[in-house]
Amino acid sequence: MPTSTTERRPVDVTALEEHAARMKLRAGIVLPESNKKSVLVPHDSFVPVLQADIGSAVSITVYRYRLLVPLVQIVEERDRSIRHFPIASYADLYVIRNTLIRHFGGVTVLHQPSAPALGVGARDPSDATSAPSRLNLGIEPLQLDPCFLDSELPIDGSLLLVDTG
Amino acid sequence: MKRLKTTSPKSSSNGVPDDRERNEILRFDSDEAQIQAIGVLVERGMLNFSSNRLDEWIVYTSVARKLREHGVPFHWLGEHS
Repeated sequence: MPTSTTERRPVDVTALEEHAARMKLRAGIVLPESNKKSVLVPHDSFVPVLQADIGSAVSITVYRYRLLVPLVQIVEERDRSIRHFPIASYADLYVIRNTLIRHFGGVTVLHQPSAPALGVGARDPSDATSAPSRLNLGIEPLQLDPCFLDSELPIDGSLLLVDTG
Repeated sequence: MKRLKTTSPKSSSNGVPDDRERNEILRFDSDEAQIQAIGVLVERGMLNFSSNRLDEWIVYTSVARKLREHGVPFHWLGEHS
C-alpha cells in the first residue's frame, strides 16, 4: 500500500480483463437460411458472459455491488495539524467507471461527501508509531445498477473497498 | 480542444430561471472532457450520474448546467435548459 507521502500509481484494472473475456451474444439472432457453415456477427453484438440479461422476458436475479473508492485521506500530524492526501485521482475514477460499463453494461456514480466513512485510528503503514490519525475515506461509491457479478471477480484491494450490502 | 456551443439557461415566462430537475443526456467527444467533468463535480460534491455508454452521461439538469458553467465541452442532447 502506498504511503501518504508517496506518489500513488494509477489504478490498474488489467487483472480484471481476463474475467470479462468470455463473451456471449447480446440478444438471440435468427440464422440466415443458407447452407453456409459460418455466420458473420458484428463485434458489438457480443457482451461479457458475466453481464446480466437485463431486459429479459423472464425475471432474473442479480447482485448489486457497490465499490467504495477513497478520494482523500485526512491525517492528523503530531503537531495536531491536519493534512489532506489525495488517493484516487479523477482519471482513476474515469478508468473504473469505463471498466464497469464495459464489463457489466452500466454504472451509477454517486459522490457522498456528506456521509464520509471514517476509519478512526488508521495509521500510515510506513510509520505505525505515529500519532493516532483519522482516515477519512471521502467515499466515492460506484454503484453498479443492476448487474451480475461473478463471485470470483477480484477487486484491486489497493484502491477499492467493497460494500456488498 | 474544440469548444462546443454554449448557451445561457433560458428563463421561464416570469423571468425566473427554470430550476426543474430532469434526466439529461450528455455526450462527450473526448476522455479529457469526461475527466474534466468528473473533477468539476467532485470538487462541488455533485458527482452523480449514470452511464451505459462510454461517451454518455445521464445527469440531473443542475449537473449539466454546472458543467456548462465551468466550460466543460459536451453535447447536451434534448437540452431542457
